[in-house]
Amino acid sequence: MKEVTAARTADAERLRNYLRDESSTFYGHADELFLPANQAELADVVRAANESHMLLTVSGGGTSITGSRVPTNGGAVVSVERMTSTGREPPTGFKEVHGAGFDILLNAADKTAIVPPAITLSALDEILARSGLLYPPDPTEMSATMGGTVATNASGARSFHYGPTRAWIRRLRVVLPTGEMAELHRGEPAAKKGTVHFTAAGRTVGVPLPPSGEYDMPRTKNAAGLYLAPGMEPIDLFIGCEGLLGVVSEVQVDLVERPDQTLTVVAYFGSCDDAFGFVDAAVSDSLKLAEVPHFLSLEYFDRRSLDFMREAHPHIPKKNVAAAVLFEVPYSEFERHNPYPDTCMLSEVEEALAKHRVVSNWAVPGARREEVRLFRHSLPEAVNDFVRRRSGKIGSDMAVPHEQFRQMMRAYEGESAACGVRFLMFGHIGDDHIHLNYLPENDEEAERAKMAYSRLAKTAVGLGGTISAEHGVGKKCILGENGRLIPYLQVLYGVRGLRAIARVKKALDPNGILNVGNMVPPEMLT
Amino acid sequence: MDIVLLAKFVPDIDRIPADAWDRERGPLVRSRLEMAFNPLDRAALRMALEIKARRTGMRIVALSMGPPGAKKILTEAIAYGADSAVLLTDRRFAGADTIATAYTLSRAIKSMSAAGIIDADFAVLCGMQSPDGDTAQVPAQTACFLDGPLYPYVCGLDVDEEKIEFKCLNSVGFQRVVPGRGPFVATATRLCPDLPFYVDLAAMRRANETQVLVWGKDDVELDNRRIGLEGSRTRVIEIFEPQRKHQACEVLEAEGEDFAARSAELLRRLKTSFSTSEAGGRAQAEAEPAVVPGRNYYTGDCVALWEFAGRRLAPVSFETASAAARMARKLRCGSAAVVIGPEDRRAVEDLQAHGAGKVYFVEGVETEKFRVRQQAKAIAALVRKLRPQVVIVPATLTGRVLAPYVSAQLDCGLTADCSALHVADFNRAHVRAKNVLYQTRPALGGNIMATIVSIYEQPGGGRPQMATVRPGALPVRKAPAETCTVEVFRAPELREDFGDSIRVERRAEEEKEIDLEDFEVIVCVGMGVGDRQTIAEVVEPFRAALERFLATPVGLGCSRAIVDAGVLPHSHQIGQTGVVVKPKIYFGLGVSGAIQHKLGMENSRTIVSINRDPAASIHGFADHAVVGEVNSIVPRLTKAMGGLGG
Ligand SMILES: Cc1cc2nc3c(=O)[nH]c(=O)nc-3n(C[C@H](O)[C@H](O)[C@H](O)COP(=O)(O)OP(=O)(O)OC[C@H]3O[C@@H](n4cnc5c(N)ncnc54)[C@H](O)[C@@H]3O)c2cc1C
Ligand SMILES: Cc1cc2nc3c(=O)[nH]c(=O)nc-3n(C[C@H](O)[C@H](O)[C@H](O)COP(=O)(O)OP(=O)(O)OC[C@H]3O[C@@H](n4cnc5c(N)ncnc54)[C@H](O)[C@@H]3O)c2cc1C
Repeated sequence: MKEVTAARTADAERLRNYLRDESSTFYGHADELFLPANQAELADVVRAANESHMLLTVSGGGTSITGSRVPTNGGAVVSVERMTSTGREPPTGFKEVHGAGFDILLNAADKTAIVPPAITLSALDEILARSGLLYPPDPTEMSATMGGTVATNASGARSFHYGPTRAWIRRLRVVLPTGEMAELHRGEPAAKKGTVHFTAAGRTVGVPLPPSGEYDMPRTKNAAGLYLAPGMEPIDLFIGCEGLLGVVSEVQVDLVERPDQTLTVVAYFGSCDDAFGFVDAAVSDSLKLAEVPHFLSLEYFDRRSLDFMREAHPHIPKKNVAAAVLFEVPYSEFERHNPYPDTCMLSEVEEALAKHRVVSNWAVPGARREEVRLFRHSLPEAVNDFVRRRSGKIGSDMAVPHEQFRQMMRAYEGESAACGVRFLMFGHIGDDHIHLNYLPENDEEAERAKMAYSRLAKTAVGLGGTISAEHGVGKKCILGENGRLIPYLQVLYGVRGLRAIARVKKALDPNGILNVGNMVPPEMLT
Repeated sequence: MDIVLLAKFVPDIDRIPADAWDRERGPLVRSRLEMAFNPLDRAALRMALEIKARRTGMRIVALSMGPPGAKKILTEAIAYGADSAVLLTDRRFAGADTIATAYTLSRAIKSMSAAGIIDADFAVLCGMQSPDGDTAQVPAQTACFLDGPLYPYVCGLDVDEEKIEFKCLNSVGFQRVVPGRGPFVATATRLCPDLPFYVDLAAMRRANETQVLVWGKDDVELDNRRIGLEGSRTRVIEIFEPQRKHQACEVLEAEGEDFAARSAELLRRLKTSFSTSEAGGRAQAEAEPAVVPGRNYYTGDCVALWEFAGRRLAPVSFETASAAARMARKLRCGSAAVVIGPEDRRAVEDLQAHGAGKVYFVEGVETEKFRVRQQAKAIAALVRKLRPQVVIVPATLTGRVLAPYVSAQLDCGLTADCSALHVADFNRAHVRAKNVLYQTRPALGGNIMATIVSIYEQPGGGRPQMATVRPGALPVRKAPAETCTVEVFRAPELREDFGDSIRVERRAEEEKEIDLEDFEVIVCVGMGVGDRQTIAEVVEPFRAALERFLATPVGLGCSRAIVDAGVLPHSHQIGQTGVVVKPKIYFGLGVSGAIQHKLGMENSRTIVSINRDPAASIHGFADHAVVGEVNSIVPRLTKAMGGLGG
């Protein structure tokens, strides 16, 4: 590849870190690594790759669990890790703020910030905390980068209240696969006549949308496949595109004021039905809580998850406990120098829980939020760690419409019991989005778990749900009808849907160089 | 029996926000620090709750002296299970040093007992120290003002319906203490488990409904001259930053010609910063001002306290003896050393060689069991007799609790854990004092340094200026005293009839493996080292040489990549999904410094990286980078340490 200004290396050792991700199932190979330090260098790398028809895979924080950042088809890797500053003067109303090794441009009055793609969510949070502001999306893995979370439309526990990443992006700058820069704003003219238009480097780019009936997005929280819908805004093409359509080089996000304090409650229930009943009531607002403005999150842990967590947290109650629901509610100080919510609110929450026969509860005030975060994070981390040393994780990310939730849970239990592989379930129950994780002890068990998983994915789609609500699909494949592997996304959209994505991809990436292998198989792009 | 829990509202030094470092306004802006419940006090509360669970009718009352905001932690204490709480808050309490604080607390406890809030028979539980001052002085001084025994360093608790047994650390291992009647004070160490992070909703409700008693000065019977600023016996003269942390990484090229000289220099600097605790040591480097002739403010000798290691004097005894001798030369006074125990020829020779002109042996005190009150009272009696101007005590496990008990007996100031001492004049406000002791120590977890003096209005009152010094911080100098007189001092008879019992357990020969978090120096291997053979042949000798060079255990850590490769078990992994460490010195050998690894070690005081890639991420936050091949550099450093001596 021709000369570029960005730093580059072909050192195998340096490259090694970029050949896998947190899934521990995908391994790739690459000839070179590019480390652009600013937007111009990044555009330069992409342009050069495009000109020499060289495959290029984008790397952010490397925390994906779908292989999406793994260069399975070879070529080169471009990592945005050195893009720690936006590299430009603050526009009026913005000021530059430093912290944790990054620079952002902050406009506190307008509650918005312009941030570089490499910034991690934890660093951004640290900087914003000082101004009492919050960037709401909170995927569990806070070492994920802004670029990566935009590319995967990440979401987290508080997406229950705040929605996914998509809802918080005001403006994006992307380097298109051709190396041209495009800038996309929220609220820009929507798609007309089956085409969505935007401008890049002074020319108008048109992207064909699939005809109706060919690509119906599920009506749940969703991170599977491109966002393609009649009347869509062009910015939505790039959010959740898994790097297929461009490299995110700068992001302007919306912010909110930090909730004053949050009360976290872990409620332990004697039966799953009690837990589900409580969640139903919370989601449908039938609890009629006068003192609780809203729930920020509603998370579920099944008995097996609690057993798993007990190693690190031995005090998790065991007797008569079948499941737990963790939820957060905002509150403000009711009396000077009192760390707790006022008694009316506490009583109301206690009563609501009692109605659903809660066995016991843990309550944590705002000041100890870090411990809560660690507590919650300890489960996926322990699971990932457990499976990394065994036969790899088979974890689901499906979500279904609320009315179908209990049926889906029965399917999870039924299939999993039948396949006889150890499993556990936890996740964002408020969004009807539970992670089912199999913990196979050996390859034979892994095979059985995969079969069960395939059937469950189909069940979810049959119920009007999605196969991936937050992690994306990346390079994941699944066992098809005939026992052959098919792209995971095919379960949701069928071959026609994949072709629709391929058409969009080809319109923006005629040479098929960027992040090839994500969502649709490479063959479909030629 | 009831329990008083001391709870301090302290800055959260584990989470110092970046903007608390405001160069314009001084080293660290305390008002920008988040405040929290002293973690060791939380551990003490947990112990109290465990005891209460086995007793009927026992009450736990939390007591805090602090700003109105301290009500927060008292409310928390109630939610966790304390029965009631008292907040001592009054502008006239402000500015109190440890002795004024301990005095106020002890008076408040007396008033609580008089008011029936607690029983006449009570115990005081608290953390051994708090992270802002790190002095460990208030508990011992409080015990002294309550005239009760102190059981410091509790690391385990055995409690049933009949008895309470504390397992306490001491200098030979452990002692098991079964306390008798109160009042007594017991202090929790980091080895005690913390409270859980949660309570339940009903507990929060109960806390809201329980009134925290707020007491001002007039609610407590006390002597106005012994509280707040006026009651303080020490004054903070100056606060400064130890060293600008992580300005830029200092790079050392292995290919450079002067590598041998520069790497030796680096090792020497690491050693100094390790033992002085401040990276680079400003107070150390400071030239000592010449002493101006004239009449000194204080009179009397400079006295050093001993420390035993087994049957011999511990090396730190020579540091205190040398320091006392050095001060004595400046002040043109005598220098003496005090040893508890029977007369011993060899100790005298050793101390004389380090400048002691007099040695006092204190007899009639139990030495096997560590009874703080008894030893402190004996030392206080001797000091009253000698009327020295300076008393220097080693800041060891024993010295750190003995010294404050003595200081409360004598009503004198005490500065803990000094890393530098010097003599200079004090000219401020209406006081002009010639040749007083300037005592410099780290505070706020080593994030700031403070220089402190003790100025008493009546210098002739026989109150010494007293300091404990960090082992390894002060130089040992052999400067023999011409003559040395020896005197045996019989401790006054002391009734110790508290009905307690103490059983000493020496530490078993083989120590249990300590956790990585507990090491002050860590060598961390990454993929640049990679395999078992290199660890055995290159890293191990380096680690062992470091242990000798710095005279401290050195832990072995690794990156996750090493764990993934099956080279070391997960217990060695540093980082987000491993352990979080904060050693004084971290060596990264072939570690790239990925963000998840960084999260586990970025708060190390000094970070040294050995990596062949000058652009490795770790060099963005390391203090020193040695650029080159691990296999060639590390053996050279190992060899160099041999040459520089231990
Ligand atoms: C323990 C654990 C918990 C997790 N929990 C959650 C969760 O709660 N919610 C959730 O949504 N996800 C979760 N994830 C998955 C992961 O953290 C997210 O997918 C995250 O958004 C990935 O960000 P990253 O910066 O690590 O990107 P990478 O893994 O580096 O890349 C992810 C994808 O984004 C692309 N990409 C990266 N940067 C750019 C860029 N600048 N421009 C264009 N494309 C780019 C990559 O090519 C790749 O396709 C979890 C992962 C782990 C390990
Ligand atoms: C969710 C998540 C959690 C994680 N948790 C952790 C964690 O807790 N702890 C952790 O450590 N990692 C963690 N990681 C992994 C982390 O991202 C890095 O992959 C890992 O820290 C890299 O280890 P390393 O520095 O040993 O290896 P590398 O990144 O491969 O670096 C090796 C370094 O050695 C240098 N080198 C190579 N050969 C030599 C030589 N002969 N002489 C001198 N130098 C040489 C190279 O220049 C390079 O800088 C986590 C990752 C994720 C996504």
